[in-house]
Amino acid sequence: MGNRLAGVRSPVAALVAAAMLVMGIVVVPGSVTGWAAGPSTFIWGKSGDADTLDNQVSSNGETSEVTTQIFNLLVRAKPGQTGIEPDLATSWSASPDGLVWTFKLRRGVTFHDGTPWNAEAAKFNFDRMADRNGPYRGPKDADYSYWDGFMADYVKEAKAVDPYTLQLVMKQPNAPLLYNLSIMAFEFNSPASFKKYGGTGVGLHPVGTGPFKFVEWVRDDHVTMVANPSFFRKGLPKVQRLIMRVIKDNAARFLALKSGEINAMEAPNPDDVRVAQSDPNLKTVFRPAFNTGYIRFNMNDPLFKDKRIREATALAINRKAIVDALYGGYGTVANQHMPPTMWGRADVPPIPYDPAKAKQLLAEANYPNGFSVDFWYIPVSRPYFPNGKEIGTAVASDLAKVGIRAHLMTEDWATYLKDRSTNKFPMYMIGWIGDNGDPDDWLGYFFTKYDPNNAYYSYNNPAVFDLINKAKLVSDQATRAKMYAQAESMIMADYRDVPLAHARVPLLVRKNVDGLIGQPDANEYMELVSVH
Amino acid sequence: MAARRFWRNGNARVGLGMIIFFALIAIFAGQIAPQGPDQEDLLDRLKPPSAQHWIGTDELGRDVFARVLLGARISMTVGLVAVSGSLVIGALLGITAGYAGSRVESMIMRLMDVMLAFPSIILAIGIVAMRGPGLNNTILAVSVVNIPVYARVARGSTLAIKEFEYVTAARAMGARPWRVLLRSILPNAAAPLVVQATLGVATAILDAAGLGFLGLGAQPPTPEWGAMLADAYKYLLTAFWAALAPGVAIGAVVLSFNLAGDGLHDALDPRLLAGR
Repeated sequence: MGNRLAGVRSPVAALVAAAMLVMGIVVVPGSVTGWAAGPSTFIWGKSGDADTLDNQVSSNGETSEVTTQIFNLLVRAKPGQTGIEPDLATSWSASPDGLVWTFKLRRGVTFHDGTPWNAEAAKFNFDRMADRNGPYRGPKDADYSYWDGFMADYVKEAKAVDPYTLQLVMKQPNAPLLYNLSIMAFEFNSPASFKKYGGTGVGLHPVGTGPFKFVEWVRDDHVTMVANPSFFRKGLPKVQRLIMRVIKDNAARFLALKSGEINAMEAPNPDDVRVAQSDPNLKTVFRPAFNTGYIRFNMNDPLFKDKRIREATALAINRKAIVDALYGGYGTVANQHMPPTMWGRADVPPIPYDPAKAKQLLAEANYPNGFSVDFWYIPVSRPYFPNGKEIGTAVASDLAKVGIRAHLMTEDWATYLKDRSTNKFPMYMIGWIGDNGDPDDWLGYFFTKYDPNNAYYSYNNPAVFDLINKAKLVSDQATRAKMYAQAESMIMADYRDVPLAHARVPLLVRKNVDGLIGQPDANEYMELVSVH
Repeated sequence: MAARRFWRNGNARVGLGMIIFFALIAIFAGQIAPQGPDQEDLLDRLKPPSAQHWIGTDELGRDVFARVLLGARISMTVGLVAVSGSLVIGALLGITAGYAGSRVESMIMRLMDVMLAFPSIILAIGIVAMRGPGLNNTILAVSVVNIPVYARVARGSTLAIKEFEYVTAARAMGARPWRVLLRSILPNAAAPLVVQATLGVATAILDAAGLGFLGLGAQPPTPEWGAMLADAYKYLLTAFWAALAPGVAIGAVVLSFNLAGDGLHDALDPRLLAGR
C-alpha cells in the first residue's frame, strides 16, 4: 500500500520532491531534532511499522498498537487484564436465545472530526466490514481476516434502534461475541472520514473517538498524535503528545531508550533486559503471559497414534529445567493450553519429568530402544519460544536420554507456517498468542474438527469437539467455564500436545514514566501514561 | 627438490604442522574430548572456563572444548571431501576443454564463467536452499561452487602443455585422446592444481562455516564451527568464550591451509625460483 505513495512518477514530481527535501533540510531541523522527550510528550519505541492505520483491514499487531490510541471499541480489555470493561458501549444484554445483542451506547462522544458517535455511526462501521461489495471496502488486498474469522459466520446485521441503542442480530448464538468485540480490528471510524477519504484513504487519515488525535505518519519512522481534549474518559490522556517511533533493531531501540531519546520500548533482547535491570534510569514492566508454547504431535502419523508414545515423549522432557534456563526468568511451565490469566482453565495435574516411566511406556509400546523421529523447531523468536533453536535442541537432548532420537529440522518461518497445516511434520514446536480473553479463542480453533491431512487438526475426539462447539452457544459464563475445563482435561489426558511454557513479555521504561501497564494483547493504553 | 624448497619455507612448515595437528585432533577428537559434545547441563549454561570445562560452557551448558574438538572433524571432512569433489570434476572438465578446443571448450568454459559470475557463497546458498539444509548438502554446495576454479586452472595448463613435443609424439604414435589426457597432460598439469586444492580447502572450510552460520549447514546439535558461532555470538558480551573458541578454530585452520598452500605454490613454481 505504501509503495504507491512513495513512487515518484514524473521528472517534475521528482524535482519538486527534491526541492522540498532541500527546503526540509533547511527549515525543519528545529522540529525534527526535537525528539528529546519533554514532560508533555511520551515517545514509545516500536519494533516495526504499521501497515495501515485502518485496523478493520489489518491483522498486524504493529497497526493495532497505534490504532488503540486513536480509536475505541464497544467493549475493551481492562488495563493489564483480559476481562472486559465498557468502552463506547456502556451496557449490553443478550436475548435469551442469544440471537439478539443490544448495546446501550455512550452519550456525548464525538469523533475527532466533530461528528457525533451514535448507533448510526456504529452500524456504518459494521456494514462496511460485512458488505463485500460496499463502497468503502478499501484496498483490493484488504485483510478482513478478523471479521471473517470472528464475526462473519455469526453477525447477520447491525441495527440502529435509536440514536444510542445498537442491536446486533445474529445468524446463530455466539457466546464469545463480547470478548471478540474487544479485538482492536473492530474499532469505530468516523463515517464522515470514509466519505472524505474513501475506503482506502482512511488508512492514512484515521479519525476515531480515542484519547489521541492523529497528526502525521512518516512511514518506517514515526506516528505523531496529540491529546484529544474532549476524550470521554475525563482526565485522560495524561500527556499532550504521543509519538510512536519505529526502530526496528532491538539493540538500536535499546540504545535510544538508554540515551533518553525514547521513553519506553517493546521487544528488548533478553540480555538487554538484564542490562536494564541494573540501570538506575530504567525499569521493567511486563505484559502478562498471554501465550503458550507447546510441542504438537501429528496424530495422523501412525507412531503418534499410540497414546503411550505421546505420554512417554511428554514425560521425557524436563520442562522446568528448560523454562528456568532458557526463558530469561519470564517463563512459567505450562500444563495446559490456556495461561493462568484465563478463565475456563482445567484442574489438571502437572506433567511430571519421569524418564524412567517414559522408558517403561516405550517398552510397553514395543519400542524398548526408542525410535527416530524428525522434530521441527521454529526458526524465529516468539514470545512463547524466545529461542526456538535452543529450546528445540534442549528438548531433543532430553528425548535422547530415553532413546527417542529426535532429528532437529527447520525451515524458513513462512514455509513453516504453511507446512504445519500438512502432514509434513511428525512432531513440531508451535504456540498460540491470545486474541482476546475468551477460551473459545484458545480451544475453539484447534479442537472442533479433525483433518486427516493436517497435523494441526490431527486430534480426533468428537466428545471434545462437541463440548467446545456447545460451549460457544451457552451464554452463562460459569457453565461455559466448566465445559472448557472439562474439554481441556480430556485433551490433556490424551497427551495431545506437550505444553511447555507461558511467557511474560518485558517492556523497558525510563524511571520518569508512570502508568504504563502491559496489556496481554500487546496494545497498551498510552492514555494512562504520564511523564515527569 | 620441491620438498626441500617447501621445507626451507618457515611459514609453510608452520602451516603443515598446524594441518597435521588439526588432522590428529579430527581423528582422535572422540578420545581427547572430556565429555560428549551434545551433553547438556542447563544449570551450567554460559559458565566461564574452569578446570572441568576448559573453554567454558555454551548457551545450553555443553562443553565448548569438546564441541570445538569434534567440530575439527566436521570441518576437516567437509573441506577435504568438498575439495576432492570439485578438484576431480573441475580438472576433468578443464583438461577436456583445453585439449578439445573449439566448441567443446567454449561450451564448458562459458558454463564455468557463468558459475564464476556468482559470488561463491551466494551460489552455495542457492544450492542449499534448493536441496535443504544439512551437512551433506553443504559439502555438495561447496563442492559445486568451486568446480570452475579448478576447471580454469586445468584448462590453462592444458593449453600450454598440449603444444609440447611429447604430447605431439604421443598423438603421432596413435594414442587415443583420453590416454593423452590422463597419461601425458594431467600429470604435468597437476602441480598448480595441487596448490589450488590446498588453498581451496581453506576456502571450502570457510564457505561451509558461512553456511553453518546462516543456519543452512549442519543442523543442531552438530558441533559445526560456523553454527556454534551463530548460536553463541548473541552472548558475546556475557560469555565471549563460547563464540571465541569456534571463531579462533576457523581462523587457525584456514590460516594453516593458506600457509601450506602458499609454501607449496612457491616450492612447485620454478619460475618464482628463477626470479630469486
